[in-house]
Amino acid sequence: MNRVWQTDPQAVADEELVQACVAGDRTAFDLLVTRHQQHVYRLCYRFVGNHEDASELAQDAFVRAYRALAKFERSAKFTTWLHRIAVNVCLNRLALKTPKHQSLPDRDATPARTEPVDAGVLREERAARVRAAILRLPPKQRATLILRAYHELPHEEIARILGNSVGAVKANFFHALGNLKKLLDEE
Amino acid sequence: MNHLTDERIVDALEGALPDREAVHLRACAACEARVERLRGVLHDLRAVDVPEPSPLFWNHFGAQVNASIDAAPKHRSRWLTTAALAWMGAAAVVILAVIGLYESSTAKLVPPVGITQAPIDDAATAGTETPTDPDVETDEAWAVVRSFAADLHYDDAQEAGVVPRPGSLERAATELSTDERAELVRLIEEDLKRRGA
Repeated sequence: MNRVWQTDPQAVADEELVQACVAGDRTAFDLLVTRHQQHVYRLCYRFVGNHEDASELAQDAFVRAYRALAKFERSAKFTTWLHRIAVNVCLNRLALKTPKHQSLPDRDATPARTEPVDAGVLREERAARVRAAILRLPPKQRATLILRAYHELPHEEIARILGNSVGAVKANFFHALGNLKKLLDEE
Repeated sequence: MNHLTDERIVDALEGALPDREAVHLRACAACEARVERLRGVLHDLRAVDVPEPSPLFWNHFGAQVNASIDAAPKHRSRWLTTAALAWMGAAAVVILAVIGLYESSTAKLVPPVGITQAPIDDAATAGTETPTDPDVETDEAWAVVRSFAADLHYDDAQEAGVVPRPGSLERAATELSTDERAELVRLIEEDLKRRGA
């Protein structure tokens, strides 16, 4: 059988691939994975802050998506649906696994520098502090912050993913930013 | 006018503030400060990216997802096996109690003839006879079940509220296949070892 996505994968919408997959074509799912793997991995990474867990969670999200493909509603947007699965996988992990308290890298503990410091090093130190601060946010605030600040999803879509109202999403985003500011300022 | 709500601060941050509130924001230093404070955090956040994993990781990711999908049913069947074993274990305990009760009652109490006949009136058992399975008598492994059941006392079982229906005891045992009996024996032996019997 000649499949369009084998000749021109980019021309095929996610939702068509879902239909093909439900009809039994596993290669269609492979293409969905390839298309969204980096996005899902990044989402998971921001939730847990390390490669090993992010990799495992991202795989789990795709496995769950595969098993639930038959329940995917054609009117829905695949990326919203996949986001919801990935976020739920991450939230479940947070609920099950008490995260180790990760203190923010201490600026004062950094050895005194006598040479000019590479801007990249400073940037990475700052990044590590921000990542650690994100990990200390409550789960819903963390989810909202990640989906809004990094994945730039509209508030309405975040509300659908998290099962909240738009007002609650905005409030969570506001508090997430405020808490993050406090965490970064206090250390 | 009141200060901006948290939601409106977010709207202001994202340039989506309605005109009326925008007028307030331009005139209110406190609200402006709140917006700018969060704008700085958002700027810092967006400067932080996820470390890029090795290209090899992406080459293998899809294969790992497929392997997990293929492995999942095996995992589920393993879980079901565990659950099934747990149920079999529970069933073994019940059957043992019932058998012990039956053997004790037949050995120590000689029930009046009418008692054994009474359940035959029951619609569920009407027309059935107590089955006799020669395998049960000749199955050596099954002897373990019998010996274990012999330790149970009728009074103890009765106190526990286990009241057998005459005839149902033998059916419970004899309706098991040879393999099922063998598995039941294995479970009981494991339990006996665990208890140090």
